[in-house]
Parts: sequence; structure tokens; C-alpha cells
Amino acid sequence: MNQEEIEKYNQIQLYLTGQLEGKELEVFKQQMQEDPSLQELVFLEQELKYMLSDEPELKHTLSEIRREKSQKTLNTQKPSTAKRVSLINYLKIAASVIGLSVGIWWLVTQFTPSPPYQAFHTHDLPSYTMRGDEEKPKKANEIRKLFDQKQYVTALPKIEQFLDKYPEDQEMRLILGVTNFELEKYNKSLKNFDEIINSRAFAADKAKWYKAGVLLKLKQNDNAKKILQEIIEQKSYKHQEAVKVLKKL
Amino acid sequence: MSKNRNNINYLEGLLNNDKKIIEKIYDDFLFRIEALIKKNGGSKEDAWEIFQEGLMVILKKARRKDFSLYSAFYTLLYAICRNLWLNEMQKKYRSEVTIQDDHKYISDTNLEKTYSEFEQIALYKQKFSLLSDKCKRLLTLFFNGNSFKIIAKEVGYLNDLVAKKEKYKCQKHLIKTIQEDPVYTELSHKKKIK
Repeated sequence: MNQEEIEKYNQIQLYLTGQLEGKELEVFKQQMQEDPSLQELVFLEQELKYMLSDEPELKHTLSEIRREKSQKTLNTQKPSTAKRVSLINYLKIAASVIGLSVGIWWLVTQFTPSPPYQAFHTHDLPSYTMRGDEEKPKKANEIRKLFDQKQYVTALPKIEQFLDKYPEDQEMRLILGVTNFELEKYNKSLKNFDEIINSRAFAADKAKWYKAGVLLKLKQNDNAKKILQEIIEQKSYKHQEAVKVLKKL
Repeated sequence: MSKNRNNINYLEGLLNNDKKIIEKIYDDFLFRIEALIKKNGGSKEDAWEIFQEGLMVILKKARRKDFSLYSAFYTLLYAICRNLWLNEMQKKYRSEVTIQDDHKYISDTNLEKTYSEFEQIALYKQKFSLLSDKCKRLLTLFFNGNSFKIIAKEVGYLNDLVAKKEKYKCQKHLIKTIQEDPVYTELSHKKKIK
């Protein structure tokens, strides 16, 4: 292996991330002007970064908006067999229903705060963005679609089959854990999350957050509090949400 | 990055991850993309997926130093979603497919660059998909800003030095296969002519 080549790739990376300064930067720019193959490598490196970057914050916002909008659509769907009433009567009824609903909503929000575990039902799990002809991302995408549509019962056997074939895939194990969580199989779910946390995989941060949710469901509030505290201290995944949940406990 | 004044809010909203503006993008444009996808054999679900992916593509484009928005925001979004859907259909039917377009948007000459960029991205994706699972994982972690130490732990290499060497090998192989493809040569040639 050519050490000089490796160094060249390093320099490109430093240049693209703005870490080359002063003399070093000048020399690199000069080299690029003189060497079209270096210019091409810089271009390709940039292209690959563009293709492979995940943009997790936008992804999260988009999933959130999607979930909220789908919920809104569901709420506004009216039964088609509704009895026809005159417009005035309809408006009168609607006004009183709205008034009553607002009143009830106010009372409910004032006196019955949402349960602390509600925050754990918002999912922004890893998605498999590669759409090649390979079997793995294709299967993973199918499962992900079922999961996003909240078809947990249908998704579960498919996730298990997937993990039989690719047991090292901790991201899919995370989806398994959350699916078990949604199906109220809390002990299984806890086992899944512990496995991920012990593997120290990337998904471990998310698994920790969900583990806190499972413990709350299992009424092990003290253990859940410890984990939430850890999440806040380490500023890991959902640390701001963790503060809100802790306040409710 | 230069911007058309009417588009500034949409783009900045994406760049700043501003939820209110992004919601406005959905309200203003999703129904139109939904109409396009449904007209071409897709479902509402497909339209949501494509719309979401389209916004991701715009964000990634806008992050680049050389990005300029010459068309209206929606025209760009339309072109991107159209091509994403076209790719999906081609994968599904494994042959060339045509798409019923809204010619108001598709005839924008400023979009030529976007189309050729799409061909490039499709080529990169195809070559990337041919790499080993380990290489894919390694490069994805690397290009998402993870240190070699983390990559070594995540992918299962002995240490960060090994991870660094492996990254070099994977990347070099990927770049070589891209450069050797005639499509790449053709696209580079087109770019030089322009």
C-alpha cells in the first residue's frame, strides 16, 4: 500500500472539511491547479460525501411532520354515511361540539398530563437509503415501510427472519426492540435493547433511550430515572426529551 | 450560494431545519408531487417517500459551495422528485420507462445541470452498491463525520490505523470503478463542453 496515496486522500479530506490553513492550503490549491487528476479526486470525494451523508436532523423533522400530518388526516376523516342536516343546524351542532371539545381538551390538558412514556412512541430509527439490487437493503426497506405504517404484527416475523440472516445488524435489532415495545412485549424488548447496548454499536444510544421507556412501562421508575440521567449527562440521543420525561416522574 | 428572492425562505428553512417553513413546503407542494406520482402509477405513500427524499436531495445540493438556485424552488423539487420516481420505475420494470410530465416545469432549461447530476448520482449509487458490506458501512460512517476510532469499533477493525487503511482501499476501489465506467467518461466530457 502506498503511504503517499493515503496521505493524498487525507489532504483532500482536510481541504474539504476546511482544516487546511495558511501555507498548507496555498500549496494544496496550487497542486490542484497543476494536477487535473487531483482536482478530479477532490470532486469525487465531495460527490461521495454528498451521496452518503445522512442529514439526521432533517430526516427527524421530516418524519415528525409526516407523522403529524398523517394523524391530522386521520382525525379529519368523516364517516361517509353521516346523516344530512340543514346547514344552520349543522353549524349550531358543530359550534357546540367545538365548544365542548375545547372545554374538554382544556380540562384534560390541565389536570391529566400526558404519561411520561408517551415520548417513547415517537420513532426516528435508521433508514436503509441504499436502493441497489441487493437483497439486504431491499428487505430492510420493506420492513422499514411496514414499521413506519405501524404494521408491527406483520413486521415482527420479517424482522426476526432478517436478523437470523444478518445477526450483526444492530440497527435492525433496534427496530425489533421498538416493535416488541409497541406490541407491549416489554421483556423481549428489554432484552433486545440490552443486547445492542452491550454490543456498543452505533445504535446503542438510541437503545438506551428506549430502554428507559420500557422500564417506565414496567414501572421500574428508579432504574428508568438512572438511565435518563445518564442520557442527559452524556448529552446523547434525545437528551432534551429526557429532561422533559424526568420532570414528569 | 445565490438565490432567487422568492425561494429564499424555502431553502433557508431546509438549511436551518426550520420546522415551520418545512411544513409550509409540504402544504404548498406535496399535493402537486402526489398528483405527478399518482398519474404515473404510484400511490400516496410513494409520493410521501419521494417528496421526503427530494427534500433531502435539495438540502444536500444546497450545502455544496458551488450551489446556485436559478429556477423556482418548486421547479427544482419537481425535477428531482420526477427523476427519483423515474429511477424507481426503471428499477421496478427493469427497462426504460417514460413519465407523463407537467411540461410547465420540465421545460426549464436551467434544469439540465440537475438532470446530468442525477445521472452521475445514479452511477455512484450503482458502483457503491457493488462494494462489500464492510466497505459500505465503513464509507458511510466516514462520510458522516465519524472518527477512525469509532469506525474501527463499529465495523470491527483492530484499531483506527487499520480502519484508515481499509477506508483508503475501499474508497480507491470505488473511485476506480466509477472512473472506469463509460457513463462517467461521457458525463465528464459533457461537463467540459459546457
